[in-house]
Amino acid sequence: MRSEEEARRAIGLYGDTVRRICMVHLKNYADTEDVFQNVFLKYVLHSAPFDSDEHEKAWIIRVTINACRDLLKSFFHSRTVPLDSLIEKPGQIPEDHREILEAVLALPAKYKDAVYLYYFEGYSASEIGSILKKNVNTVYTLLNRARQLLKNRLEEVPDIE
Amino acid sequence: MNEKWKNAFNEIHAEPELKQSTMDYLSDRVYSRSGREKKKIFTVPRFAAAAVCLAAVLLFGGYRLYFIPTAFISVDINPSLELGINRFDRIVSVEGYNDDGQELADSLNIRFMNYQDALEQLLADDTIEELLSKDGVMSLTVAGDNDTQNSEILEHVESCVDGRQNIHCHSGDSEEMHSAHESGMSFGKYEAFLKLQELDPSITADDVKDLTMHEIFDLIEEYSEDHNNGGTSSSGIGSQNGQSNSPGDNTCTRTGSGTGSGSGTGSGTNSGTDSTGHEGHHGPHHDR
Repeated sequence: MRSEEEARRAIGLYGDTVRRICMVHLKNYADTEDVFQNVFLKYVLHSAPFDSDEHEKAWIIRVTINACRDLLKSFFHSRTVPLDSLIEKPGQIPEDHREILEAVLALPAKYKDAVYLYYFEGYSASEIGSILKKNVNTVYTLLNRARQLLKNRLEEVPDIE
Repeated sequence: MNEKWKNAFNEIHAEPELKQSTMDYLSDRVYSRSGREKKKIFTVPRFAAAAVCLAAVLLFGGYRLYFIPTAFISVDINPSLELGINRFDRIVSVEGYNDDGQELADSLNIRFMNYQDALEQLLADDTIEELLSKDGVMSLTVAGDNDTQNSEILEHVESCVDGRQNIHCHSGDSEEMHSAHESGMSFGKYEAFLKLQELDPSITADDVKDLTMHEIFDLIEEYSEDHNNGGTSSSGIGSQNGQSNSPGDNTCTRTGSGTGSGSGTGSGTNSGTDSTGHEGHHGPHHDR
């Protein structure tokens, strides 16, 4: 078990990343809070050492993505609609880059992680492959298809290298 | 270009309150030992309470299931006692309905036995053997709410006492059984009492209470004989007046009706002699 200081450090370091992944996948604050707390609870209870900070970050990303998926898969989620998803919540998305974020959020769930990790976290396709436990070629396919979809909504979408 | 994308996400940060609530959550769940202990202390009695409730419900249900008799065998000689049988065919209550019965019930150790074994033991009991050999009459009555169980028990009881002359078996319904208990008698005796009361309405439950079954059956027999005899004679008095008299009168009646006189309600003997008289007188007149 990790100490309270380690937990505080991890939340400070990776809180934003976790929050962003939650935003990509989840539609309301209560779910975000659930996942956020769960991820750091798992972190605190996970006692195996990490090789490096990068390794730690990748672990957090992996855990967050899984937590989001589990939440969305759960029976309660698949059968109910949260009240605030019925109301438009522009406050959650900053005005400046609304277009980009909305375009990403509108993507099918399977593309979201790859797009987020590639365009924002700057991971390479092979790194994304190891985080998402997918073949590199599959990651390329995901990214290219996502790009095509984004192009329908946005004028400029960076190329995949 | 990529910068623009990075900036898009850069503007999203974990809210300070989210971080704080997560820290609170972690310290509550993981770090706060007192919190953990508090929870532990709280959960143990809660589980214990739930377990106790469950146990109570199960015990009560089990008690009802096991200890509430669903059928009764009422055994009457003079000691009259009643065996309560539960749905698992076990004896769950042995109750004496008079002093002898109570004594016998106390001396028997048949509680929680299968009723078939219990019945065998009961019939082999010295007191009962003695009473039966002294020409006592035993009555075994089966009653209960469950018809299937009733008929099964009755069948067994019948096969058990098969070949013994002075044991009667019958079944009754539970409603009558309850009224029997109200009047303080075992069911078998009450049945006999009802039979007796039919014959002589003046007999009350108290009169019968202390009689042996043999005595009651004797009384029933006596009354029914009386009843039969009394019944035929009284009806004879009403309708067959003339015929029931001495054979000598027979002719009188015949001749009386022949002449057309003395019919109806007139007293038989008188009209009979009268008509003989007439006949006697008239006869020669006609001849002449």
